[in-house]
Amino acid sequence: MKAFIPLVLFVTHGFCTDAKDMERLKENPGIYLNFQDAPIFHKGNPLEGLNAFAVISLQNSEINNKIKSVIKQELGSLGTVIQAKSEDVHGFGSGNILNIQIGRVSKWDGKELPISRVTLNIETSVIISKTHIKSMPRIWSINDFIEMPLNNKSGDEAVKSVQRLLREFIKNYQFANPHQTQKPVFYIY
Amino acid sequence: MNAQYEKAIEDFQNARWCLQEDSNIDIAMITAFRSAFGEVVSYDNLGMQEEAQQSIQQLQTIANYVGCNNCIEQHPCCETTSSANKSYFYDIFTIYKHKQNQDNYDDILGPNQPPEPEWCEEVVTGVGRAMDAIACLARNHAVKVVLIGIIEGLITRGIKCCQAGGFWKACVAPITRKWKEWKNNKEEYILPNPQNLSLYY
Repeated sequence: MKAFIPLVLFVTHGFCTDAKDMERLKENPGIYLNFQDAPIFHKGNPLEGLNAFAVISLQNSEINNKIKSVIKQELGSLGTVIQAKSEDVHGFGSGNILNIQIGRVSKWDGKELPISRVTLNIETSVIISKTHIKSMPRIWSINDFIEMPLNNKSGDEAVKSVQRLLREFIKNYQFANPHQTQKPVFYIY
Repeated sequence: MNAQYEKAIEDFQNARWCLQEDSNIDIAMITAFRSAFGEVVSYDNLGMQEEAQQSIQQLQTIANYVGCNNCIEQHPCCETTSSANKSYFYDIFTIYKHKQNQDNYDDILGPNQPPEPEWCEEVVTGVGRAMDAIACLARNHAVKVVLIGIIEGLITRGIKCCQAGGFWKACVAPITRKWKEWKNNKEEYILPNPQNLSLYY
């Protein structure tokens, strides 16, 4: 009987931990069936603790203004948005970049496919632990695709796609920073 | 033949380091021009395109200073001799401008004192990344490569200045001003292509 009690406690403790982990996994917005949607981080989420970003979105089209408007609207729901002048380097000094790009997609033979890729990247400076190299890689990234090259016709689709990616980012950011008291700042360039 | 080009590059680099001790700006400019020009030729012959582009950028910077010979009040040696690490190639043009006291970098918006130790390098790298986004708008591959070369040159120059302990606004000014030019071009729909490449140099 004395040996049975610790065994029961051990099993119960193990079960509770698993249940808690399962619950957290269910809440994790990175858990999707399609890996295109968002990277999965169970621990060491790279979005944790980042509190300011330079936001870059420079599209080769007149729809740029619509995209910028969506960026301000969506990121404004998460933090403070500042429209920064080019020469205001506060955003770049934060060391974190939120980069939205819309680009063409090529096949293996270099020919272009009739689609565009919409990408939201988070980049920050890191030191690679194995090599001690200082670098600025993409630490978090999410993609979407629209059915034609970016132009005025596909503009609305592109705007909706950017909106979807921003909302995914916001969900993931909030998951990574559940107890954040200070709002993040977004410097829009 | 390659070994000769490599030796030549070494000589040109040594010559540029010696510029820090030169009190005569005319001679310094001529030497800087010859060094940069020689490097372009040597790197090009060695097939080192990125380095060649950086040297072209240096040539461009020298060209920007032509006609400003009489505006130096003090020779540039004073500042470089106090440099903690003379092995760095300190950007002589930044020193000259700083010495002239004609450029107080008021156009660079940010705190006077860097709030974090890495601030200067973060700004240089971050601005460079923003410029990459404009370079990627170029559909012409050669134009894209040239623009990336210019960015690389500005980042290298900025980082070296930051690491040498230069005034952070002076270090980030060249790349930030170039970024502003590029962004203005983009906003006026002057996109990077072979016809208007000169507006991106």
